[in-house]
Amino acid sequence: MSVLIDIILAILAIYLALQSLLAPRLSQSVFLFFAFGLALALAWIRLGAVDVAITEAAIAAGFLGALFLDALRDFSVSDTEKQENTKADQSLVSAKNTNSPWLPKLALGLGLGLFLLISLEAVWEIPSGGGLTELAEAMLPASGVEHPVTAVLLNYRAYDTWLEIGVILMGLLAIFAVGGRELYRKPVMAVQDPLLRQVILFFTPVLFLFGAFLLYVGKTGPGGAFQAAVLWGAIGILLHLGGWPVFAVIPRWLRQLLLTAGLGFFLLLGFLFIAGGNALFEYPPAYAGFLILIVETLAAISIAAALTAIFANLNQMKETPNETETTT
Amino acid sequence: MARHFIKKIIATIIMGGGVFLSLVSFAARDALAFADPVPHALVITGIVVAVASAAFALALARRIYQLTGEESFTIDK
Amino acid sequence: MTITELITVILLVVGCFFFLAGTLGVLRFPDLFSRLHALTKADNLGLGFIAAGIALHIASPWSALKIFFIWLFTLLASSTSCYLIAKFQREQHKPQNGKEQE
Repeated sequence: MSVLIDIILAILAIYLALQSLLAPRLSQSVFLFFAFGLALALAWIRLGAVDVAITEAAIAAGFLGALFLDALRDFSVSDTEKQENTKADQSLVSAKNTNSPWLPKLALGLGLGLFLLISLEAVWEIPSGGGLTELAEAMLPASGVEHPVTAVLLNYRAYDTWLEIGVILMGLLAIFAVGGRELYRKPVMAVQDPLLRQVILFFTPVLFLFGAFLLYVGKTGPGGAFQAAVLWGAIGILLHLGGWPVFAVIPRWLRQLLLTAGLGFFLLLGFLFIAGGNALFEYPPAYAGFLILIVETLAAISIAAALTAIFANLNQMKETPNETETTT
Repeated sequence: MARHFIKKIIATIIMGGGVFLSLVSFAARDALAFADPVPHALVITGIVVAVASAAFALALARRIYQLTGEESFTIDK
Repeated sequence: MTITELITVILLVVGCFFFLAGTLGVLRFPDLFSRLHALTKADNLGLGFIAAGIALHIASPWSALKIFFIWLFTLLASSTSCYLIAKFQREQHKPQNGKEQE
């Protein structure tokens, strides 16, 4: 019976992905992408990976979907019109490309099929021993937390998580480089609808509490820093959409501090124990849990600030870089 | 063969999701008491990295549209 | 099957039926406002039934409280967005449509 649900879910996910790419209108593409993210999260719950499911539903479907929805404002709604225009231009200009459309597709299909066969043959035999599960489980008491995925994320592979926070910051810097820098000249947002403002004011403490709950339950169950960070980032995004650009009007040193606190403290912690003779990011098992908690909190604050900044920058991207007037 | 920028970005995320799905299913296939946690952590990291790069790609696409009005890479124009 | 399981199944089926009806309404109704009507009312009712069924299935009071909060937040969010969409649509099309009555 559960196999039936899995098969339906798999077919649904593939169908939604295909329809998302083949939809004629751009808005349909984005909405189907939302649905695909949800189907993927359900698939991960079926596979037993609850942390991954929460992270996927929050970041990949929620945050990225919100970014896509915001981008819909810019782009024209139906791209079939523009495609027809460009196709007409192309057929008029050059006549030698008429037989090329099927050759790249054939090459792509053959390459994908070959890759699929190779990967299937590589993983067909089930390796015995369950991978690294018992190693992770054996070292669990010494890691300071009781949930194995959190232990892997923040203790065994803390280097990866530290660099991941760095990647988010780098994404923010890259968005600065593209041209979103002029946001920070005291934007004045239009006064929004009062009902919207009240609802956002209601949701802000709820999201904050729920994010804190996800953060601190990561010790014993599915949860952790990234999920909490997305919820806290949602607070910033909602406040921004409600007309209070909180992230832009706080002083600059505070913004920089919020963004880099997670990364910096994490790095400091990693290096701190080298002085005592341990390796990089090796916490002493006595108070590893306490240190992991502090690191998670600061990292969540940092990632939340970075996500808010990413959304605010994409929201406020202006046409020319040297305008001094403020727009919504 | 999608032409529009946003569809290309969506396609990249879908591809990444597929890879993560196969990673987690390998972890769930040879699971003992509970699933292998190391691929879970790798996939969480991978999702966040994919989202960060997709946000950057989205910023690029919007900027290109703002500056030139083009919505896809037309090869010969 | 015990009586609890039977009631759970009935509640879940009714919730799915309301979701199906709401989706059918979204696809087939002619106007934006009627589509919004079908979307928010039918879908939230379906969600309420499914939430009630699941809360009955997981028989712990804390979980029931959490599921109640899930339903409440979804209700708030969907009704706010429905209101915003309707208001935006009305303001956009107000000068053109002279037949609209206040």
